[in-house]
Amino acid sequence: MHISEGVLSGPVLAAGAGIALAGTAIGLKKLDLDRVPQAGMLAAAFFVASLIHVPLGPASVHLILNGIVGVLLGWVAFPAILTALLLQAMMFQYGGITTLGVNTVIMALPAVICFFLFRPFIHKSNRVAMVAAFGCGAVSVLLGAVLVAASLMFTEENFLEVAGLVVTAHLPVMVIEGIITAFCVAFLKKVKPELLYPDETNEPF
Amino acid sequence: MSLFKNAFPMVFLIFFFWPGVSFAHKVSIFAWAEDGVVHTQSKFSGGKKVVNGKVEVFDQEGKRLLEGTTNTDGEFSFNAPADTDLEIVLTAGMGHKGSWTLAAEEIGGGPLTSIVSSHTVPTDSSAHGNPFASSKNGVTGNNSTRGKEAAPLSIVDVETIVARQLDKKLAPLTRMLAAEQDKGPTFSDIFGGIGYILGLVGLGAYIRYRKEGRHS
Repeated sequence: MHISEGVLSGPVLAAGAGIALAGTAIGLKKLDLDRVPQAGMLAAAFFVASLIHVPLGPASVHLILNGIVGVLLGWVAFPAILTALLLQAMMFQYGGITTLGVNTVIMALPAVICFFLFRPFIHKSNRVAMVAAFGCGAVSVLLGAVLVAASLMFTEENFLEVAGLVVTAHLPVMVIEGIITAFCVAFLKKVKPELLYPDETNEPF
Repeated sequence: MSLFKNAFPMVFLIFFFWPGVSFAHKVSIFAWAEDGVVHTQSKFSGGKKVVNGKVEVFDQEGKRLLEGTTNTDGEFSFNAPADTDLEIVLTAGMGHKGSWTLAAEEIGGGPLTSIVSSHTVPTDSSAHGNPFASSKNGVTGNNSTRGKEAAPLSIVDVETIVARQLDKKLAPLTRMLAAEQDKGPTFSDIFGGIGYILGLVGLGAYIRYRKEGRHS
């Protein structure tokens, strides 16, 4: 999911940086100081998840966890993911500084979209919530893959071909992320429901 | 829950029969030269080989000299096309790109001059597989020719011979280095990153409590 430096054209990089900046501004504005530790924890989880490769069969996969970040943080996913990606770019040369904006959008925008799509269902019964959380985890990876293809469209002509390739490559990640998100939400609903039902007066979204 | 009970075996099946696609976040290419042949090895972060990656070779002016694809071991070799620094660029698809610059001096070696080849310096390309055999051949070969012809060697010839022998001796080392390249992030890197994030959280908490502390 991390696009390397020198692959994308200037306008794509600028557009990505612009959207990432706007998203981060909104996220920071909505970031209640009470939720800073939670955002930090999730940024750390995101940072580590993308680092650890699990060799499964012939392929090696790594988790993205943008679904769980999105469902818990909403717009705050932007600053959280931006921070984690900046550190990955600086310390491991994953992605890059020039592509930081694009990469942030690729992973944070689906997180926010999934927040709005699936968050309402998280408040329903356990069964519905788990299905919604599974959808949230899977769809956020799927949208990320589509965004990768969209940003590559300007360098690698054929959008459908690239999109097909990227989406197929991420199918197993989608299933795993779905399951992880479902179990996380089920666990949080039991153990720490206030993370999922922030009180209305203090709504950070 | 039954949904998930069924899903788990399915997930594992997907993994074990998944075609060889990888989707890491970084690719790296490492290149070294032996006897004027440039070898490259391409990997994703985490050590997975890049299969069917496109390798392009550029000279210093950015002119494309040649291109090829990596084999199932992530390797691609080509004859050094020109006596310049080479910029070797790997494109592995899905936005992954890596490059390696090989200096002209590193390629060195090159085709031997006619004088040198008449001295029957071992040119056996399989020699680097067996360093002892090659050095033995080298010694006997040199002795026998010295006895017969005794033609003086110019400094350039000696340099070329030494460079070639060094290439051969160093080849296993270079291969080892290639294998060691990019083993992925270390634990200290990972914990360093987590430390940064926790530091930012601490900074947020500090600002918050400093503000609140004044009021209460």
